Amino acid sequence: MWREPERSVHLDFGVRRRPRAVSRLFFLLALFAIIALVAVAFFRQPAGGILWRGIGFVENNTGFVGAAIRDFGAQFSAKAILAEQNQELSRRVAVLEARNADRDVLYEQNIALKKQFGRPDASRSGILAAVISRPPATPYDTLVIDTGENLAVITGDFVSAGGGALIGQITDVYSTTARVTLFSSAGNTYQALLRGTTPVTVTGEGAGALTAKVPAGTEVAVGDAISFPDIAANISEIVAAIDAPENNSFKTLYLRLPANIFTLQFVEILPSYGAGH
Amino acid sequence: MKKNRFIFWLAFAGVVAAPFVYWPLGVIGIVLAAASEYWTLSILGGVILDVLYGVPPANFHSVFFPLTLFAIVAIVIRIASEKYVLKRGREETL
Repeated sequence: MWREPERSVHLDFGVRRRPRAVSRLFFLLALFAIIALVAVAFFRQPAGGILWRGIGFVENNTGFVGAAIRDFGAQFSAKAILAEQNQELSRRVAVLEARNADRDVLYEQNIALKKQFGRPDASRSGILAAVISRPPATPYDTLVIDTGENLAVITGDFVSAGGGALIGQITDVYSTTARVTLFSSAGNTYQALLRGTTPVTVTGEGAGALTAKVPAGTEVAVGDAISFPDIAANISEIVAAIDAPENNSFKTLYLRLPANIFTLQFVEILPSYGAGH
Repeated sequence: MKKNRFIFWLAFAGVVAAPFVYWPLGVIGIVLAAASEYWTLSILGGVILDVLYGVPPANFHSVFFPLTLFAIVAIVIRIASEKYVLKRGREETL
């Protein structure tokens, strides 16, 4: 007996059904993301504090987690390059030692004179803090330090790399840690003084670099200091390079922070620095 | 990229190592997790790193959760690419 063979013909003609699983997944994903973001937005501050306390604990007690991985790359550096770097650094240390020889004497003299003229707040003692995390482990040019509410650190406190070398401000305070946003954080702008007199607007570019524009006639040289208007001596940036094209009415100053943010071990928090708080 | 245990652990290691070593490792971990369909790891990684790193300053301050948003975008791109590129066979393109 003849039977017609069974045939299955799949005619699609380009009409595709929307996969249900994908829309359900989208819905669940969106729901999960919204719930998670709302929950985290409420508990962001304490959660951040707890996480950084954990990371600080690991860094302080083992100290090798990041260092071991960072040092791994150093093994591939050529010996000759290291020797050359060593010599260069030795030369630089010698030059800087000579330059700084009279710095402490002048600084003490400066404070003594200000006190004599009725400004006892000319020198401020800060709180020493260890750096738990620094760029490139943290983004946005931020540091995480090991002091927080426990030592009365508050948002807006200035942070120095030592003495009057200001590098940033406290932006988040947790129970035992705090976040420092460096002046070089990309997009941040603030007002400062070039050579203590010329007002400039400094803009952060990231990775410890900043820029500022000054009129073409402004006297400026590489190595000049940018500071905040305050009775206490301070430096917030140093001019590293100057771009002054001909027939241009402005000069672009390329600045750097007074300390290397990638190797900072300790910082000083200046609780009552400035008049902003 | 299909689900793979090795890639899961690689992405996880990237997210965990980021706050200790180099923050872009976290971004790589998030992308790897999203590309391998580990949605939970991708989003959780983004949320945890956002909590750790805080709100970005200046221009991106209003984003508030940049890495979580990045994870969601990576997942959407992965799903879209699955739908329109990776699984598009010859029979569907006459």
